[in-house]
Amino acid sequence: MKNKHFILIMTIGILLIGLSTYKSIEVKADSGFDTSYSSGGSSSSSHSSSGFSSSSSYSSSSYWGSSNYERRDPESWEIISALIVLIVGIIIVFKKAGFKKEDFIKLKEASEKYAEEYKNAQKYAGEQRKEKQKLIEKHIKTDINVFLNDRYLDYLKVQEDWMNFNYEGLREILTDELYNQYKMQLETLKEKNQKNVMKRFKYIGSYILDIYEESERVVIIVELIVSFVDYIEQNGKVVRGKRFKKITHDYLLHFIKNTKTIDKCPNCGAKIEDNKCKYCGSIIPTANNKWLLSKKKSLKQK
Amino acid sequence: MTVEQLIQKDNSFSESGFISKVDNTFIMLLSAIMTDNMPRVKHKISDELYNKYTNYVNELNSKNTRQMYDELNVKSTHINEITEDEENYIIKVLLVSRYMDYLADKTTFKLISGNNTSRVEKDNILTFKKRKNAQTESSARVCPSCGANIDANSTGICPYCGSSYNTESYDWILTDIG
Repeated sequence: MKNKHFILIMTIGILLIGLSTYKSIEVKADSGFDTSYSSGGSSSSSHSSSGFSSSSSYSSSSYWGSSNYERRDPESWEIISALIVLIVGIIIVFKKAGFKKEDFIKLKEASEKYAEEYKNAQKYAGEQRKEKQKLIEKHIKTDINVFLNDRYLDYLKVQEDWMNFNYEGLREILTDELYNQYKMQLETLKEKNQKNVMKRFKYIGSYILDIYEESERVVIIVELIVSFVDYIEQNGKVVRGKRFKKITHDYLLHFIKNTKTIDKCPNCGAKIEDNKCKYCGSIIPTANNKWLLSKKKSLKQK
Repeated sequence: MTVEQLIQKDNSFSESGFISKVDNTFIMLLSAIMTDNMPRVKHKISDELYNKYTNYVNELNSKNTRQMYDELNVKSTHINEITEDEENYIIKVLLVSRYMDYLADKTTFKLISGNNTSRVEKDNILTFKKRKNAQTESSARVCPSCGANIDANSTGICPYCGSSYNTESYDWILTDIG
C-alpha cells in the first residue's frame, strides 16, 4: 500500500515540476556592482543620453500597484496538453500499482483535506493583504503609480550619480550605510581609472511587493524591471561588459522612511531642514523623512 | 535565540537594519583592504580584526602588492544564529559575496596571481557583537573627545580633533570572519 502511494506521489510530483518549469528562469557594473559582465566589448561607440521610454500599455498586477509588465501566460493548447499528460500518467500509475476502490476513497479524503487547508491559507493571505493595504494608504500619500514612478526616478538618479562619481547626489538619496558602501566601491573604480557607464534605460515595470513598519521607520520593497546598457570603460576602452548590448534587470529595491518626525534640533532647538541644523551644524541622520534607498539587489538579469 | 526574542531584550534592533549594516561593513572592510585605507573602517570592526588586516595590508605593501576584490557585491545575507554571553549579544551571519579575487602590482595594477576576469562566489560566516549595556545613541552625533558636531558614520573619525568615534559603545561591530 505504501509503495502505491509513493509511486503515485512521485509521478504526480514529477509531472507538476515539469509543468511548472515551462518558463525558464535565467540568472548570470551597475551601481553596487549588481551586474555580472561577460568579458570583452566593442571599440566604437555612439553616445545616448540616459533616460527612459515608457512602454505602451498598463495592466494591474496581482501585487500592489500597477505595472505594464505582462508575464507570459500559458496558451490554451499548452494547458490542455499538460492536463492530458497528467491524466494519462495517473491512469498508467494507478493500473500498474493496482489501485482499488478504497484507495480512491482515501485519495478523495486527502484531496478534501488539502482543499480545506488551501482555503484557510487563502483566507489568511487575504487578511494579510488588507493589513498591507492599510499600511500603503497610511504611508503613501499619492497615487501608487506616482509613487512607483518617483521611485524609478530615484533609481535613475542613483545610477547617474554612480556613473558620474557624484557623491553629493548619492548622499541625498541613499541611507548612510548604502552611501558609505557605494562611496568606497566608487573609490576602487577611481583608483583603477575606470568608469561604469550606463545608458539607454527603458522602464519595463514595477510593483510594490511588501511594506512593513519597524523601529520608527517604514520599509517598502519594490520590484523594478528595467533594461539598459551597462559596461565598464578604462581610458575610453571597454574592459567589462558590452557597449551596445542591453541587459534586462529584475531588481528588489528597499526604500525606507522615518516615521518619527524630528523638526527641531536636539542640540540647539532650532528648526532643521533635511538632516542638518543650519545654526549649530548638527547632523541628525534620523530627521530625514524622505524615501531613501537602503538596499538594491539584482534578482536576475538576461 | 530568535530575532523576536532579541527584539524583546534590545528594542532598538531591526532585522533589515542589521542586515544592511552587515553588508555595508563587509564591503567597507574589503574596500579598505583594497585601497590601503584601514583607518576608514576601524570604528566598525574589533581591534583584533583591525590589527589582523592592517598587518596583512602592510605585508603586501612591503612587496608593492595590492589585494584586489574587484566588482565586489553582496549576493545574500542571512542570520544563522543569535546567542548571548554575559556582556554581549552575538549574531552569526552567512554572507554570500561575489568578486574577482587577485593580487596586483600596487602601482600598475598588473595581475600577479589569481583571477581578474570573472567573479567567484564566496561564503563567509561573519560574527557581530553588541554590548548589552550599549548606550542609546543621541540623535545628534557629537565627538566624544571634543564635542564637535560630526557626521561620524562616514569615517568614524572626527574631522576637528582626529579622534576615532567608538561605535563599540553604541552599536554592532564585526569581530570575526570565517
